[in-house]
Amino acid sequence: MSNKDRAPNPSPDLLAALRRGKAALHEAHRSLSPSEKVRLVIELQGVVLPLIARRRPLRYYERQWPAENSIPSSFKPSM
Amino acid sequence: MLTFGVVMSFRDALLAIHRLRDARLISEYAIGGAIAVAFWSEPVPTFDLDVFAIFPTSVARLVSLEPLYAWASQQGYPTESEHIIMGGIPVQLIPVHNALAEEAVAEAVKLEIENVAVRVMRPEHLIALYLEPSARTHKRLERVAALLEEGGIDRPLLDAILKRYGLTLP
Repeated sequence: MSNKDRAPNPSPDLLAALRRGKAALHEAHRSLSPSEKVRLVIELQGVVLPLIARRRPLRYYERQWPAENSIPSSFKPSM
Repeated sequence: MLTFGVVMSFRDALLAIHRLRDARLISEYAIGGAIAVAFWSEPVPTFDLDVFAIFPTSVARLVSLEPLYAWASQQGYPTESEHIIMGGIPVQLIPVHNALAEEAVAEAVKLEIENVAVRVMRPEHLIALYLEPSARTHKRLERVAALLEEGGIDRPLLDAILKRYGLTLP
């Protein structure tokens, strides 16, 4: 392949900016509150489940958690 | 800007675990596994909630989790294989299997999650448990790396735990 046919290399500045952006995203995820992290886990479940299902049958527990209350009617909360 | 509401199903699962303790079927618990890692580091996709439990000392030798499943059935929580479905979330109750796991539960920290005070294993204990020979898979070593890099580890504490239990970092 000649140099002319090659995709252009990203500049060091562009790569550095992309890495900074990625680091900022990870930091934003790390700094979420525990409740927000649970919500994000549920969102991630929705993303990865179709990908897993393409590779193999899903296991019985591999499903997206409900976000809403599904508490049994007999339940009385105790803290 | 990310904004999130309360996840009621997760809160229900946490309250159900507290009920289990109130009923004295377990004497103490701590959340471990990927959800605990997420609280100290970055969320990863996972599908069940690992709850490590210490059982009452009145039970001489734990031979079955049947009393837990019987309680779950009475309370209206379905069971599927080894999971109890609490608030729609598959919860796996894992009896502490050795001194390290028992220490991890005993020294867990309280975090407030969905307005419930919840016991979560410290990141140093999570790392140690993942480094046990029987648990040392590629996926778990990735979690160790994430915790070391991003989990705000107390390094002297981690070193002391690893030394006490004869474990080494990769």
